[in-house]
Amino acid sequence: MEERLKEEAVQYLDALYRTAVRLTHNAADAEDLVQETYVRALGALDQFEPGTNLRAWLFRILMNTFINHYRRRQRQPVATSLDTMSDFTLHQQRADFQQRLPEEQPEQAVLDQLAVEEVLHAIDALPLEFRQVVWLADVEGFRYREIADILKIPIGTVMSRLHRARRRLQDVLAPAAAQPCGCCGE
Amino acid sequence: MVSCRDRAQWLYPYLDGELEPPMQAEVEAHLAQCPACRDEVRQTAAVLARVGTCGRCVCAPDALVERVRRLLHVEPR
Repeated sequence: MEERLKEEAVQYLDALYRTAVRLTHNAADAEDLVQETYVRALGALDQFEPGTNLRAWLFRILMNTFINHYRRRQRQPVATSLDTMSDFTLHQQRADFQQRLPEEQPEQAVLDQLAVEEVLHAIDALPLEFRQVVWLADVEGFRYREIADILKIPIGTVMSRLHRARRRLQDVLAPAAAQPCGCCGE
Repeated sequence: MVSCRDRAQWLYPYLDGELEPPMQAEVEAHLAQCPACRDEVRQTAAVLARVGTCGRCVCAPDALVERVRRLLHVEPR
């Protein structure tokens, strides 16, 4: 890997590691996954097109490596498919969270008090396919097209998974109930 | 014509800056006259921003940084 690319690749270590932790739910596996990602990137350097997005390329390798080599041996899987997250789990999370909310506080102040662990726990509770898209969009800031390329799924699938993932996160984390619409009452 | 009823279709793409310019303009025109949708946009943006902030709190351990730097032959800073 040429020097400039190597220097740039190292800058994405934190992002790749935090993503790996959310995928594997295990710090040791996450470290292995990230190291394997860089090993594979070095080995596949001739496939990287200069001028394209190195960060997205590394994320694509990370996701491929996770799916092909780590997913089956996750030590503490939280959820394994889109439909395995029970309503009970969601309702329990929401109830646990809302019990701690002071009603009179402005919503932003309440949100700011949300502990990092609480937010990460809500993300971890999402099925893998939802967790991937919401993480790439809301934490890593990738565009829909980039997420579609990283995960090798159609852009419409990115949008529908992102929609469902965010709805679930909002159900758990948003302190304010949905307000009836002033225009149409819905 | 953008309305509250189809908010589920435009809310997230609007917040993500993924709408085409004409649709973006339609949503903004709707938000200008609909306080409930403005509220929903504000609340949703706040939750998603918090997710991003919390998500980015995790850093790679020093030992991993060191291993990857050695792997790539990149000098420590």
